[in-house]
Order: sequence, then C-alpha cells, then structure tokens
Amino acid sequence: MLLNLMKNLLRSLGVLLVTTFAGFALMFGNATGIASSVLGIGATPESVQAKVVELGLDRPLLVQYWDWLTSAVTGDLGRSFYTGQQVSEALSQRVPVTLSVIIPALALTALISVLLGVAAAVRGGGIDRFVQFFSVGGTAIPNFIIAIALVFAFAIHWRIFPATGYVAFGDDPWQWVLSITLPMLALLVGAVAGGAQQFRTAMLDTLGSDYVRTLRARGMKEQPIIFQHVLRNAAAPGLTVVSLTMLSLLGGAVFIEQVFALPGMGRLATDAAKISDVPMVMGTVMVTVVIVLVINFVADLLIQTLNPKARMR
Amino acid sequence: MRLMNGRRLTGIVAASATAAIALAACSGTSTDGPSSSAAGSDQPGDVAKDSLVLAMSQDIEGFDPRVQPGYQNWPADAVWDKLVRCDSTANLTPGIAESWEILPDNMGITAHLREGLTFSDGSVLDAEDIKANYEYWGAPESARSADYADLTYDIPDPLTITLTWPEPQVLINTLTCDIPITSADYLASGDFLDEPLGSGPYVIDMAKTTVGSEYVFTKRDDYYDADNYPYANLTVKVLDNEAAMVSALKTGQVAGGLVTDQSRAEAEASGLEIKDFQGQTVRILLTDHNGDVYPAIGDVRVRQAMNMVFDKQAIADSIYLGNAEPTAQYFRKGTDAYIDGLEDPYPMDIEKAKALMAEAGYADGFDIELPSLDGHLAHIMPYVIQQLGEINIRATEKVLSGANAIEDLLSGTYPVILFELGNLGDSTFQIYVEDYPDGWWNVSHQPDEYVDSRYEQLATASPEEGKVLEQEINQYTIDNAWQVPLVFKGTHFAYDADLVSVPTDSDIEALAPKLRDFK
Repeated sequence: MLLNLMKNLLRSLGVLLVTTFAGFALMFGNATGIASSVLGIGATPESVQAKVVELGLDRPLLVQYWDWLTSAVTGDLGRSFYTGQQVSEALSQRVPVTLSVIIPALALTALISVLLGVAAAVRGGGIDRFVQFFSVGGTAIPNFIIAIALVFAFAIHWRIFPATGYVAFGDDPWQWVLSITLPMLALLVGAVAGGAQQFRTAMLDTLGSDYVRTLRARGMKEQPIIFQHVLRNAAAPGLTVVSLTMLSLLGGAVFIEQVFALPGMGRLATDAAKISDVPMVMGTVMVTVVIVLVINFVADLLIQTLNPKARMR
Repeated sequence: MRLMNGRRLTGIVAASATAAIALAACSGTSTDGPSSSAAGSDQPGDVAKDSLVLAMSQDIEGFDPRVQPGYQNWPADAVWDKLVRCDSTANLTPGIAESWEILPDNMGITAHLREGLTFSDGSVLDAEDIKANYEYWGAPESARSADYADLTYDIPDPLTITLTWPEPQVLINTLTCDIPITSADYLASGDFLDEPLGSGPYVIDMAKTTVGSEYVFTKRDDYYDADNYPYANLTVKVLDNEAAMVSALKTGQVAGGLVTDQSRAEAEASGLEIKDFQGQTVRILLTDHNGDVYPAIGDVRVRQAMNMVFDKQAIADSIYLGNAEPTAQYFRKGTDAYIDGLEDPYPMDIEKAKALMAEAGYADGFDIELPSLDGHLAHIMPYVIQQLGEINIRATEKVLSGANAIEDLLSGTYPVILFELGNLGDSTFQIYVEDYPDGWWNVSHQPDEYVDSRYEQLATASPEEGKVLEQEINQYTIDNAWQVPLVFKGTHFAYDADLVSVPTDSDIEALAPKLRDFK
C-alpha cells in the first residue's frame, strides 16, 4: 500500500509539472499583445516594447517557465501583470472562498448520493423512479439557473439568505453559513443528481453479484449484507464518481461565483485567462491541479482502505 | 509645431472605460446579510451617512495610479487627489492646488499647492511629490509617456510648481487634471502595487479589502474638502454579473450601481431611483477616408449611403428599449462642437442610398468585416448587418477576444467599426481621439488638412473662436460622412434614495457619478 501511495505521489508530481508547463506554453508567444493589454488604449509601440521587457516576456519559453517554477517552489508565484497584486496573496484570499462552497457541497454530495443511491437500489419503486427523475432533471438544468431561482426565492422574496457576497468564517460563523448556503445548494443539485444515479448503478451491480446471492442463500439478513458487504464493494466506483464530481464542482463554481458575487478562485481564474495574466493564470492552474490531485489521492486511499483488492493493483 | 502627441489625457481613461462597458445599500461591510443592511434599518438615513456601499460593474486593475480608469472608479476617487480636477466639461477646479495659472499659448501650468496637506501615512505633500508623479507617467514603460516625457519642472518653493511642455497643448486641462498623486517616496519604494497611498478623502483598509471583490475605506477627517464626502465609511463591491448587481440592489446590500438597459425597468419597478447618463453615441466609425483597406469606403457617396439605411428611431425604441435618442451628430449635446438645431442630413432612404451606391460604382456592393469585442454588440449587430445588406454591403461580424482584442480593434485592420463609444464632455478631446490622425479611435490615422489645421488652431484660440472651429470640424465630418451616428445612449445608475442621493454630475465621461456626487 505504501508503495502504491509513493507511486501515486510521483504520478501526481508529474501531472503537476506537465499541466503547468502546458498552461505556460499555451500563453507563450503573445508578448506584445499582453503588454498592450496591460498598458491599455493609447500605448505607443515604444512603451509596449518597454513593458514586454519589464514583464520578462521577451525571454525564451523554457527560461520563463524555469524561472516561474523555481520561484513557485519557494512560494513566490509572482505578481499579476495587470493589478500588481501578489499571486500568492490573491490565492490566499480566493481559494478559501471557493473551498468553503465546494467542500461542503462535495461532502453533502457524497452523503446524499449514497443515501439516495442505496435507497433506490434496495427499495426500488417510487424512490427509484424519483432518483432517476431527479438525476435527469438535476443534470439537465444548468446550475446558474438554479442559482438565480434560489436567489429570487430565498434572498429577494423571503430574504432569508444574502443575495450576494461572502463572509469569512473567522469574521462571523453564522454569516458564513448564510453566505455559502445558496451557492452550495446551487452546486449540490447537479452534483447529487449525477452521484445518486452512479451509486444506484454501483449498488445494483453489486447486489447482483454471486457472493451476494451466496450470502443470502446462507440465510444472512439483508441489512448486514447491504451495509457490511454490498456498500463496501460499491464504494469504489462511488468514490471515483465523487472525486470526479470535484472537477465539475470546480467548473460550476465559476458561474456560481459570478451569480453570487463570491470572491472565489473561479472568477479569478476566468478573469485572468481572458486577459492572459500569465502569473495569475499559472497560480490558479497550479492550485486547481493540486486540489484535484489531493482529492484523487484521498479517494484512492479510501478505496484501498475499504477494499483490500484495490491494494493489490 | 509638434503635433498633439497622441496618447494623452484623461480620455484614455474615457475611451478605455467606454470600451470596457461595451465589453461587457448602504450598509456596513461584506458581512451584511439582509438582516444587517441599512435597508432593514429603522433609521436608514442615519446609517447611510455612516456608511456607503456602492457596486462597480467592473473591477479596477490594481493600485498602480498610472492605470486607473475614470469609469466608476470610486476607489481611486477615494484614495487619490489630483493637482487640479476637471469638471464635467473639462474646466479646471481646485484640487491639491488651490490656484493656478495656465502659461501663455497653453505651454503649461503654474500651480500653487495648499498648505499643510498630508498623505494618509502622515507624510507632507509638496511640489516634489507632484513632480515625481508626472515623471512616473512620463517613464518609457508608461502608456502615457508621449504626453509627459518632455515635461520640464520648476519648483521655486515647496508649494509652487510649474509644468512646461515644449509645445502648446490643445488639451492642457485634461493633461493637468488626469494624474492621481501619491507620495514620491512611496512611488520610489514600489509598495504602491500592494496598497494605495494618497492624499484623498479616504484611506483604504487593506485588512477588510479583498482585491477584485471588495474595497473598504475609512474617511480622513483632516481632508480639506471633507464636507463634500459625508460618509464615514465607504465600501465598493465588484458586482460584474448583472444578476448579482440587481439582486444586491433590490435587497439593499448596495446603495447604488450601474444597471443595463435590460435591467433598468426592473430596478425602477422595485422602487430604486434611476439616474440616466447619455455618455455614449452608438455609431459606425468609417475611418478609411482614403480607401486604403476598403476602396469603396474612400468614396464619400458610399459613406453617405451607409448613413441612409438605418431607422434610428426604431433602434432607440426597440433595440435600446426607449433608453436612447436618435442623433445625426456624434458629439454630446451642449458641448462646443455640437450644432444646435441640425437636421439629420441623412434620413432613412434606401432608394436614395442605392442610387448613391450605383453612382459611386458599387451597385453590387462589397464585403466588409465588422469587429466586436467578445460579441458584446449582439443586440445591435444583426440589425446593422441586415440594413447594410439593403445596399449590398455584405458585412460579417469578426469577434475579437482575449488579451489582443483592444489592440486588434484599434490596429487599423478594421476601419469600419460599430461601437457604443463615449461622447465626452470635452468635445475638443473627442475631436482629438476620433478625428485627429493621432487619435486612437481614428484607427486609420489618415491626415486631413481641413480637420487637422483647425484642431491645431485650438491651442491658441479664444473660447469663442474655439467653438466656431469645433463646429466647423463637426459639420465637415458630417458632410463627409466620417461616421454613421445612430443614437445617443448611456448608462443607468440605480440607487436607493433612502440611503443616498446623487444631486450632481461631475463625470466628464457622463457614465457614472463620481464619488463627490454622492450625498
């Protein structure tokens, strides 16, 4: 198992390097465009050229990447080309906001998806039809539509939750809960819709296994079969789905942060990408990749803990 | 005489801001839930004077004083003061300097600074600080280096400074009123990128500020003009999503912010006051007067024909939902260049337009590309393309996006540009930007003896002579159909009248209130 973990770590490091280099390379070669954009309307060719040099964009790709990489290792992610803000400072403000919404959404996605998936697979009938209907509906409706509907109902009409903005947990825990509730719910609907269906399928597959039939033939009660055996074996595909859900939550957060005016990483990343703010884009790419790798790593760890067979792979 | 160096002026900011537009409650702090907002307060008026929360529909680009837009930039208004200020028509008013004299032939300015001014860190503001800031703007890597690089400075005492340009400056007012002043030492330290420092009415609270999302300020009671800024605390939120803006306004999370044409009626219906600005003229720029890129555009008859295919009233009523007004001129009403009582010389007449096209030898039309930034003209572009098709001009939209979008737009590659472009309170400046060869919106940069000679005379003309010259330029560009003016339109500032009032307009761009307009 330790060997597996080491392999996973090395693989993750490789993914991080490849991804960040790819990100850097994709933005390379537009030095004057970036410098012009930074300077704004009215920049002379001379001032653009001076800006290119000042930003270091006149250097070869590998030199620029190596500089970024070696600085990043020491925690220096540079400054935004446009705002001059330290990228690390921006990330330290923005990442907690996004995680505040995503992590509870992910946890609730896992919990609710398991409950709905198990209930649908075991009970069938009405609950099964509900899960399938909810899965189709929840997946079909874009999360920003759900977000706008939630704002209209719970912020404008009933005024229970704030329509926009974020409050840090350290400033006011109760206001924090209020500020993340609607964004989290907007993300949750689509995530649970997909997750519950996947858990239902995994449960049904496992319930149809030979060993389950054997356990039933031996007279074992249904409850221990489901919770001690079936759920454990169904957990592997389910956890994989949950880890993949993290990706869709990160993507969905881009829209949700706009609708709720949350100062999160999604907005930072999209705004930076639009204007080729290389240091900021690289910072957000790196953090996003790290988050995804960590989630996958944890999912792998859980799967291996729950299912000994997985440790043999 | 050196031609009026291009890239100067307040209006860079104006044009940038307008381009940016195209692209795209009084309560305490971000911690406001509805329960703590002023809208829910028993005494909203009192709360409003304690704190003002505004919403910007786009973020500022950091704290570098050199890249601050004028458009709804309340953070900049809060932190920085200027040597002199420009009012809504570019007349100079006191700022750091309580008095000044413009040098003969508009060669420069002598400014007399107020005594006892300090920056928010307590350091004393004197003439050396002014010099350091203008030098910073004249540095090679500055977009405005051409405007300020050749300045010379004379500082006879710490409270007096004379700025002198090598040549007469037509736009002397906007040149001198445009620069936010920070401390010379702070500028040298480079720390200004992390936290702004100025001598303005407020000081930023970085502990409560989240760059890109929310900027929080506290009033400086020792500011010389403190009475004009009644709010003890100021919060400026970035709400760049229209749904978020409207929600925040309706729930009292913010006291005011700009809403779009589409949201104006909804905001008004929910009890908000609307202050309408008409700082933009929707038009098609036809800059290729010589026909270098599109030979047909070089023929005045073709340009006139393009003016005759649009139903401007229908544009105002249907596309801009009644929030626009047909116009035959692209200059703002009330400015020196605007010609009162001018009848539209090109009323809609498709048959006459076709005849002009045939007369010019273009009965079968020609192909053009109409650029747009990120497709932001989706509401009007299809109509424009359709109407140009009436005279066989086959226009296709070219969407520009990414970091190069503005550069591409202004590169001259696309000399026919449909845009919701700012009309400035200073028409002299607008002539420079759009008609003079150095102007960045005159993307083809083709000289014209008639316009250029009159513009250059403005440097030494009296106000009366200047008005005549500007109206001659306006009439000339109308006669030669340098543009296709469609409608005046503008922005809509929605606000809760229980929380804030906006009795004055001091924005030269006429796009949003300035911070000093909020009472």
